[in-house]
Amino acid sequence: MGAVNFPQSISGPRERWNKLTILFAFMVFVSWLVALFVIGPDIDQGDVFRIMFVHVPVAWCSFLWVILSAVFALLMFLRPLSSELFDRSSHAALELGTLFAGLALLTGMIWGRPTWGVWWDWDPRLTSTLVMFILCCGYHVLRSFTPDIKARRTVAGVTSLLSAINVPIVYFSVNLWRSLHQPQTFVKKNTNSSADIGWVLLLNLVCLCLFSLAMYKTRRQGIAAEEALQEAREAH
Amino acid sequence: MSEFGNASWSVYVSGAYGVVFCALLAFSVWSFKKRAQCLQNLKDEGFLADSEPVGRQTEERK
Repeated sequence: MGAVNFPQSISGPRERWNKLTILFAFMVFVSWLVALFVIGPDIDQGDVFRIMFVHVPVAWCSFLWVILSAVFALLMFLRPLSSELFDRSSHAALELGTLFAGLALLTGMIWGRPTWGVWWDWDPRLTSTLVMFILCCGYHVLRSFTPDIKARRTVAGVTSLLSAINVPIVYFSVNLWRSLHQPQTFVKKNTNSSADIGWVLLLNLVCLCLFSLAMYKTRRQGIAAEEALQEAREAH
Repeated sequence: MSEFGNASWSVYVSGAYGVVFCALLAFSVWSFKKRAQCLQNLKDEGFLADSEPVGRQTEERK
């Protein structure tokens, strides 16, 4: 029987990350309880503003994972000897970026209905986020339909970099164009929000980032296992 | 009734949190199942021994 060149990413840390996933999920649950029941309602929006504590962290997580995916893609191009490792990392990161971009759109729509009166508007922030989400989906489509490994890595890496170029456009869209969307929540200290809101938002952001990190590790281990299985089957 | 729309605020808030909860749960379960399935296939097809810790190099079993 031949050997399976198993990557290190699924050897030791698998059990550790299983436990950390449960811990971080519990932390997200606690942060949601604080957002829903501890902090008081907003003067303007009432209780509807509580959606912010899930919408903003989800949007920031989408930025984080799309940018990290592009960083891994760039490293893949710069270090061809480790291209397999960086391609795997970029792939797993962009899967999370796609998930969180989709969730940012959905939670934004749910927040938009009671505050703006519409589910959707072709506003610069919403439209640029939709473009980012479509680019992320395009990454997965291109990956699936490119059978050659080298070509797949190149196409996926370029698409990942293109998705990341869109991130600053999404972030600054509310400043660059006239927008229905509210301005950035934290432009300067205590200008757009109270300190309490800031701390709860930060708590939710940190907990969701940690949970997404655990999801990333699990997914990357899964991709490594898929690749190992594919390689083993091709070798025999 | 909310001053912002036709439904109560609780519908929108629970909807937003519910969507995120379901999506995160579904993605996590899918990730875990996919990883477990691949590792099981590696074992079933003889590329990985049941006795050895998952992920250990199997070079020595050649």
